[in-house]
Amino acid sequence: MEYLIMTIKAVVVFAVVAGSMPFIVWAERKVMADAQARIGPNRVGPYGILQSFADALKLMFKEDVTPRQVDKPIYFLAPVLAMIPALTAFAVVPYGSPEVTVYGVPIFYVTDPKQVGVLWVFAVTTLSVYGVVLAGWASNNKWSLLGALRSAAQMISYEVALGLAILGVVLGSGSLSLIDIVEKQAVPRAFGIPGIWLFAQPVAFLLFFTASLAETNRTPFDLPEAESELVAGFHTEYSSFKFAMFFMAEYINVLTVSAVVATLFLGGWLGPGVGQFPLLGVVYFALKTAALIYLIMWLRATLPRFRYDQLMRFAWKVLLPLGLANVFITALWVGLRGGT
Amino acid sequence: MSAIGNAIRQSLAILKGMGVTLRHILREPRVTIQYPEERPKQSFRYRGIHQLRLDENGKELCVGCNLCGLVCPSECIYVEGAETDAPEEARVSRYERYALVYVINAARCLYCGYCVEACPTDALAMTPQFELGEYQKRNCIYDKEDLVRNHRRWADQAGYGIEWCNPAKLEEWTGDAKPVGPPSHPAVEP
Repeated sequence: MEYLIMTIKAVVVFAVVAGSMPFIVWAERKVMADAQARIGPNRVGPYGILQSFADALKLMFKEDVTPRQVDKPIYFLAPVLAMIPALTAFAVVPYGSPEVTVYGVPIFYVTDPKQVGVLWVFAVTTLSVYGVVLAGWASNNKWSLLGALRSAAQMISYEVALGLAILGVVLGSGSLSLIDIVEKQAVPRAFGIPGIWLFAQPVAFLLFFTASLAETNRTPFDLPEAESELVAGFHTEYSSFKFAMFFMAEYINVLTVSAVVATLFLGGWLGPGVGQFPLLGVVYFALKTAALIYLIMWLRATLPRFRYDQLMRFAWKVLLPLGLANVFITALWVGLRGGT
Repeated sequence: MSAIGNAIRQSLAILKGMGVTLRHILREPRVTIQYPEERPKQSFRYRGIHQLRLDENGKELCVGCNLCGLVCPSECIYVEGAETDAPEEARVSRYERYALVYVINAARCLYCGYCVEACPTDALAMTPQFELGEYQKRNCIYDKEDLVRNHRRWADQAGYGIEWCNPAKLEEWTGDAKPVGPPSHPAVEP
């Protein structure tokens, strides 16, 4: 029974995440158009909302070119490796209040209520670097390789900042479970400040958000792609549906990152009235995630790309010391208060 | 300490930049023109395809002097002039000289407008028509009938080089109803 419910939840979450991807792409194009005084897609469906479906269909009918010099098994594996971690990380993200029962069976609004959700998110999102690196390596193309090299260095460097940023929240919550972390945020702090970690750990929020932009290769950290320098970076040699998979992976990553940030720092499903109507939690969670996605798009419309040396300097000389200082101060605070 | 100040300044610069994009998102008008449905409003000096103008009696103004053909940098205008002794009512042109053949190869034309400036009788002018796509190159060669048809269709909107001949539109175009008048060519003192 337990596994049946888990399977159903997994299927639903997968469907929702994968199904919202085209709309995120569409929304991004609209936001970018807004910022650039354009209109954006408006031909396919009302307000162009079906544009992504048309694009996906078009990509499927394109010729799937496999260059002769590629390392075939790895070349075919890479897009899959890029996409799976993005979807898998979602397994531990709680998207609603856990206190719901259907016919007496408790339904957690999370696919797998692991006690080590934070570690799971980390372990899985780190894997996504393999998709990029292997794609660049297997393509046997200098631009792809340069993109892959950059992304290997970038993603591993920013992983450190990501981990340090999250430590502040983990120390403060005293738990590695994402559900516990959200529930800790339900208690208001002094002066009526909401208990969400955004207010108690603003440095951690900024660090985590910045580092996760770098992890997902979004602007201003989109060096692996860097279309103005490296053709298309690591996916230069990919066409047709394999390209579509990289493309989908990027946007699912955006969704995953937003969901994780919403969980860790914005209180996940928490919001007024969730106690009476647990289903409202899903709505709050979706709204918070959507707001973060909008923020990411807004940043893309604003910021130029980092130069490679700036990127490395920023990771090691700014984010790392800030993260260490944040962990130190949080640890001191937790220690002086005698536990969480 | 200055490094920290720098970092703070740079972080604030990001916020400032985001403010700029937000202002664009919320307030700036869209510049996109949905082309087939909406059309751009051409400037009155826009140089589209040519027209051969007629005078108020429907007579051609062209005298077949071939100055336009001579000045054309891409040599895409072919004119064959002719003369006639017929009385004014029977003439195709307002003048005794007229163009027997007048051909513009629009596929070669670069729309510089030198021909319009060279024309001594203001017979040649340009129109706002820019949609000149053709499947066959031979369809891009316009003869006299085509160019006169352009005049019938676009005369009231055409301005380049003939602003002073279009008094009805002068104020709309130049914001000044005073006729500008054709540029005078003062005689060179010996």
